[in-house]
Amino acid sequence: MIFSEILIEQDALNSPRAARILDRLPNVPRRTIHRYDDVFGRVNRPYLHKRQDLRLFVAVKRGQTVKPAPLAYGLRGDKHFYFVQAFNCFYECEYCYLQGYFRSPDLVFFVNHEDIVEEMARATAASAGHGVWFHAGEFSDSLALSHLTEELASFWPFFSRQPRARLELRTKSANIRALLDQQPLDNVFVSMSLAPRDKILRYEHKTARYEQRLQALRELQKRGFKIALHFDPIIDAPAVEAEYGELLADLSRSVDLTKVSYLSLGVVRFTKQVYTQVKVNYPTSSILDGSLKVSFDGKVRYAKPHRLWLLRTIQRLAVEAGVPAQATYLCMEDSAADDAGVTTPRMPSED
Amino acid sequence: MTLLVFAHVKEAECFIDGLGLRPAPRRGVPRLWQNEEVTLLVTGEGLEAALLRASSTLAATETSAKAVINLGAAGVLRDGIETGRIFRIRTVYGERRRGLAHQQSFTCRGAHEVCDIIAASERVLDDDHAAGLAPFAHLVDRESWGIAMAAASFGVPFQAVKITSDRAGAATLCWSVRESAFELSLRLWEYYRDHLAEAPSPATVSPATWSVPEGFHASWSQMQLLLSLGARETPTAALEQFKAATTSAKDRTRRWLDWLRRSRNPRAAAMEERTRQILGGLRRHGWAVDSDPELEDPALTLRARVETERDLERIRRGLDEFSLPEWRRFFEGDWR
Repeated sequence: MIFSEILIEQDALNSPRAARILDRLPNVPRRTIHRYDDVFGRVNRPYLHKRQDLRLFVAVKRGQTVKPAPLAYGLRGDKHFYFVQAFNCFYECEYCYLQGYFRSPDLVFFVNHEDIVEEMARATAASAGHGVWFHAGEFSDSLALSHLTEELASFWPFFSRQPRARLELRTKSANIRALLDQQPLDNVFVSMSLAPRDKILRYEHKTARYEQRLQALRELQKRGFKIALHFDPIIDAPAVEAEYGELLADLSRSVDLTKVSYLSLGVVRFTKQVYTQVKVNYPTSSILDGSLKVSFDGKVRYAKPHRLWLLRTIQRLAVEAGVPAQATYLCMEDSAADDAGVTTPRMPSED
Repeated sequence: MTLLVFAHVKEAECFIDGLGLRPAPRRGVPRLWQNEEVTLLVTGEGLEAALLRASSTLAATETSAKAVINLGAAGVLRDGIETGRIFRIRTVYGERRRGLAHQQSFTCRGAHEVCDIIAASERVLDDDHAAGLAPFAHLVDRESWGIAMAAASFGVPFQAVKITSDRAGAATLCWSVRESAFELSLRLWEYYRDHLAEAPSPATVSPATWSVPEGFHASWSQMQLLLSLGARETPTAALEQFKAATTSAKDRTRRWLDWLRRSRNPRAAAMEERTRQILGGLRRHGWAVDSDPELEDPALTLRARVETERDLERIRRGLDEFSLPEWRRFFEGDWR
């Protein structure tokens, strides 16, 4: 079992959803605590402790559960929000920003999904005249443990009633069991993060393997689910063009790329704090070999000519492989895209 | 020198005897023992005493302390951990006051087990207090966080080895722990003797020695740079080329560093080359060109000194050779 201990909040004790999570993890020792945030993040618990003892908090999320997404987060012309149904991830990606974010690698499952749906409904109502996107996966993988959390079943009725609201499920997982229990909806997009085979092996520990992700995408597309892709983060390497060429060739054998709803591209980037953590946790990682620079705003990334060359090159390869040009966009590079005249399309299935 | 730190003198007894330590009290640190290799400090109970006395001792022995090891008894906070077991602690947490933890934690060097400890702000004599600490750590003591903080402040590697003495909370056996302190000390001493005494601390392991080959000269900072760029793997043929190119040992090292940077990072080297190409005409014709070193902003600052018509003609030629659209395309990623 991936968890060494479950810490359940008093307020979650009476939740049937929490009870079912506990039922599915019968052999994990458990402890009742007053509130999860009395413990979670209160001390600096080293990130790599997750390899030895990863703990699960089952809790109720208080305060805002749906928040506006950063600029240049998604496709243009719409309102973008992310929602908080969980904290942290049991995967271990060397570049992951979560290692510098929470001061703890432990997972938190929030069981009050109804509150999230209520906030989504309010955000949708307040955004009349716009498409509204709700992104899952900002602080956790949205499918990896979905068979435990039941969140898909909680969110599905809302999105089936609200075609103007769109749900994005970001993932590096091939765990599509819970998803296949739901009917495909035109406004729900499963977006798979993909990287060349070697990059997944080298940097994305414990995630679904390359072939598993392609297989999951194939299965989802076959069943009628909308699929999308993230090539993010792109990490430069001498053979980066060949690597992405191979990835796109494999993808085109697995799925119909002309029907991919969107492809986002982004290069590896860190806040200073996360960069420091990467150096502590993965001192020999070849990510650090690259020509990353501390940039004008304190963020660590490739220089502008470098990253725009990477983005343009891989964008061109994707379009040549069949991804519709208007379905590609550059994540967190909005101003650069403007400067470069790179396509930043309107969202798919626009009303 | 290794600094061994205990809270109570009874926990340290077997070490004082076993290592043949002699009393060496200092002002403010009355309970200090020493031999040539080991200094043993007894801090007294509590986080503040531990922090103060460990810091004072490290300040006095700053240049010679290579490792700090905290040894002693600890209470058990979680079920399933039997008493009398010895743990090499993984991470040390601290309690600022009851119900509030210190944010800062310290992870021990070297091999350790999945066993964390929290230094409590007061004795843990009731079950509520123990239950509040248990989510943070497996064991509890009163000093480890202060000692770890002192070690971190002085940049000295820290380890903690604890023997479980009793259950923290209402069932705590403070008084009988004191009675059995000699036995705990003996067990810890045997563990230290068998597992820690001979092992060099991470800080005392000397780095592999390496020097530049004959015919090259590197400053200390160039040596660090060469090592970080993997200079040791440079093929002999490449070194011979640098030697043939110039007679200056310093120039050879500069060429070597440049070559290492370029081969390690070909994309950056290619961008550098492209920058040189685009701006080369301006520079050749007398312009001083300042560009954003971070390569985020394409704006350029050009300066030139003009005294004669010929100077003016020269810098005009420089401007004619420079292509602003090309420079902008470079910034847009179109440069290969």
